[in-house]
Amino acid sequence: MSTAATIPAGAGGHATPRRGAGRTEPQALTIRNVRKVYASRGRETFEAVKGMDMNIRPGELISLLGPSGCGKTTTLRMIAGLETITSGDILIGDRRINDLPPGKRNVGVGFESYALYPPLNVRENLAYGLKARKVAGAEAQVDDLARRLEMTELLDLRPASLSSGQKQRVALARALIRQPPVLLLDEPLGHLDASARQRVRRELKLLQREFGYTTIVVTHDQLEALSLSDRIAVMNGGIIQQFGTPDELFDDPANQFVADFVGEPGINLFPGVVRRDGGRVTVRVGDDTLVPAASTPADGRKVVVGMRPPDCVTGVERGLRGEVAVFEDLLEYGLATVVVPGVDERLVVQTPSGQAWSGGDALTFTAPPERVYLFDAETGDRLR
Amino acid sequence: MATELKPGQKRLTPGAIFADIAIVAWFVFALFPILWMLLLALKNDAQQTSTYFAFSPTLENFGTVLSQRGTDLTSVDFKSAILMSILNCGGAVLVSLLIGIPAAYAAGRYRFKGSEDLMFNMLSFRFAPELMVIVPLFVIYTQIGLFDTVFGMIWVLQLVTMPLIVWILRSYFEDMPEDLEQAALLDGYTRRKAFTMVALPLVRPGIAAAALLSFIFAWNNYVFPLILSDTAASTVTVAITKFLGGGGQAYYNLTAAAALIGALPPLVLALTIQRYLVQGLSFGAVKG
Repeated sequence: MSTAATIPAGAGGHATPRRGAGRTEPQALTIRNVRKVYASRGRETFEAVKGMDMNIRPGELISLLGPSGCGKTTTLRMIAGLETITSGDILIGDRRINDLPPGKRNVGVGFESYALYPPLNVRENLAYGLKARKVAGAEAQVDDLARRLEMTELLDLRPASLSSGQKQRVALARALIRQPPVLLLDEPLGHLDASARQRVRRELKLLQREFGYTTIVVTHDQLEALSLSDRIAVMNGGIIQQFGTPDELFDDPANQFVADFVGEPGINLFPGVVRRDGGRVTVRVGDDTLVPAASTPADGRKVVVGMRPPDCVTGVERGLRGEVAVFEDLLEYGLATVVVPGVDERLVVQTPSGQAWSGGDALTFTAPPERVYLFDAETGDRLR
Repeated sequence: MATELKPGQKRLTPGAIFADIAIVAWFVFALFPILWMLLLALKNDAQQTSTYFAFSPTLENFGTVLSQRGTDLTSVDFKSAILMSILNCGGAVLVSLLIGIPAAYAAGRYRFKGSEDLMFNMLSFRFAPELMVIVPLFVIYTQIGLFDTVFGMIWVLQLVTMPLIVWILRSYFEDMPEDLEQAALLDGYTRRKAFTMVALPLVRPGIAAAALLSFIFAWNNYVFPLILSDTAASTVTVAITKFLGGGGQAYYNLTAAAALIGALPPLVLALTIQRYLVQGLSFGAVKG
């Protein structure tokens, strides 16, 4: 099992694309060396986005994943035109959009706060954007979209009387109504409870497949990113740490940050020292030894070892020897929290279904070499 | 402790009872001057200086204040003073709204060089004593011919109304999520349209509250009309005091009646826009 990472990119693609009249073709979105610097008098300048490059293919669904303050929302707002670009270029198709006002960029934005206009009912809220452009047949388009989003019964309600899930759908509809070639969604599922989140997530994915818009979703929830996206850009400190498919991020993290941020339960990270014996590389952890797939690190190098709980193999002769502190039986699998002598961190080991452990039990575990990740203790870069 | 309470029903504890008594006592204390004024306004000239609650009530004073006899006594037409007050204060509030709403929006949405200084400067008009500026203002007004004109009064009352309106509305604009306007921008509206069609309607309760509050402050202003106007543009606050007499007999009963009449227009206005006012004062933020 490897959590959500095994969900193939493109699940939900069975929905047949409808080629409705006036449907816009999805367009590529290119971000070239984009920077955003906030400078204000008497205060230190703050570089929110530090040189970002991304090539997003037409119709692709991308997530910007990262902790708050990592620059993901700033990036989204720069694409939408709500924030100026300090340097670099943003292109939709072949068209440079840096200097276009937001209304001319033809992007749809779903705001985290929904941005529904309180005095207007849902129907008027949806038609609002069309009226600005004096689109003919706005009413019919609203009805049509509402039918497809199964929200016809909401049309005459005011935003105040909607549940947050319904508001989310309306906000999404608002972004979709103009049939933008590029759709930007800021934390689209942020305010939903767990069950609504799953439902709307699937719905969102289906819609995106059906409408075919090039979509960027900003989220801090890795599960959301993993389950929605074709590719994910993990951001931290204004820099893209890794841009790849969910599987790539999970199986082959570029650095310690990505490894730590992606995966649930979280990866075990603990210090170790590389031992080189001829061509054979091993890692010394406390009194025990692990075998990584990495072949380049030099003897004596201090590293951080990463081992995901689901990758752990128990019932082995050699590996990390520890003592179970707590065991949680989650029926499909169990999670043992293990104390290993010489390691300060408590490690979490996933055990197969049917096994029961109790506190004080001795547990020896290891992981396949390609699942023992080594990171530089200083920089956090992956060592291969 | 097991008794069910109906909604709105309070538990009877010594603390709660004491709180209720304290509130009633405060009401009596706070409303007593108004009661006193009402009693005074109902007394005739002979009884006006007695402090007995027993007297023969009369409505004559209200008539006197508004009639020619009142004008003869004070050399001020009370009815026209009320009209002047409405013109001066209404005009001042209108001008403040026209200039203050865009100013409040700019101050609430943008941080620009010196924006905070500008806002503080404006606020300082509120806490600087009027008497401090009244002498130079008087000289300027008489020299450029603004003395005793409605235009001049509207201008000087900006010192009272403008800071209130700008400061109250700024917090309204600050509390309003910017996303709403940005969504409008993305829909293709211009900045100006996003302001007039999205932001402005949402702060309507705030505008009502700010306008009423500044109208009342302007209405109550005494020093500016006292010094900067004479008969043509003088207001109700000045006219009321004329009944106290300038060396002749002081008509406390007429003064009280005039004060009660003078308090009516703001009261009527407040009751008319009460609905907006309650919204305006209770909604800290605009919620979506």
